[in-house]
Amino acid sequence: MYIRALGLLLFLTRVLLAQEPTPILPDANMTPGDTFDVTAQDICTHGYARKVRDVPAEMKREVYREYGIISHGPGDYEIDHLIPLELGGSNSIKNLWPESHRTSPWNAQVKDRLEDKLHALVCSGQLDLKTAQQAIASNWIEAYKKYVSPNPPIPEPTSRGVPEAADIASQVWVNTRSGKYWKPGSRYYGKTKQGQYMSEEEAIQKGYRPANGTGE
Amino acid sequence: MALNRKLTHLLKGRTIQSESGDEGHVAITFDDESTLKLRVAGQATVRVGAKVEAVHEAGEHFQVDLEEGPSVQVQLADPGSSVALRDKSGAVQYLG
Repeated sequence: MYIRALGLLLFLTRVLLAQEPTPILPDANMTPGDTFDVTAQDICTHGYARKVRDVPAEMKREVYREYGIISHGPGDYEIDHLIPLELGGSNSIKNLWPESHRTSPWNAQVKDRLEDKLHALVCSGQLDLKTAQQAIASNWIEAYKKYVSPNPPIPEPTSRGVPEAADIASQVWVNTRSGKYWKPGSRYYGKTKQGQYMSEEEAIQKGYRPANGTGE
Repeated sequence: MALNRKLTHLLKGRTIQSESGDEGHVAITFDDESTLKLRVAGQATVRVGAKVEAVHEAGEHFQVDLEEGPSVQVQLADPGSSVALRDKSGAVQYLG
């Protein structure tokens, strides 16, 4: 009896571990995208994104549930704003989806590049805000090909010092500019323009502090 | 209901000067001429002259505690996309 139970447990563990971190595109029905009532002038004001409330943990759990993700490892996903905050995206569940860090070549780091590019185009007056919002909401990969590069990005899993999967659980992301660090799964984990991965212990030793008091 | 720290930090001490709205919208203007706009499901009653103590929020439930008198409670139309605070010049102070 005990051996059977152990066998079942091992089987379930393997099934869960075998799950690929998907999707690379959000489900358009669940995540059509949503925006705040803001202008290009608003979003191009320095510090705009910091004025938006953080996504509550309960809402993040709801997004995972909605997408049927019952288990995931640290660093597998982030809850992403389909239309990013820097382009006026809102915190509505209609704008949130679990975005993979693991898929290649299309993943969260690549979408970040697109977001930065679109923000720069909007703020330099080269692209209308609504057009940018619609482009990234309808298909962010096609938007990348149009506004960043027609070729898929070359996978660079270690370009920002991304740790191997086995190491990720013990790594935090340090925003070396602000001096705050973020834990896996938190809003800015691996996302700030300046930063690096390191163990939490090392971060503390170097004088970095957890963002929001907890790093979450 | 959880304290909304970011909005509490901004609104604490501001006095409600006026309130307006129509179906699905409420706009509260404060003594510093900032305006809080809410997209709501249903109606809200706001007491002019009251001073804000704190803001709590959980899902669609949004509550403004006042220093005196009952709290303002509204049901947000779309949590995460229904609250906007702008200062008197129209600059964004908070979105959520």
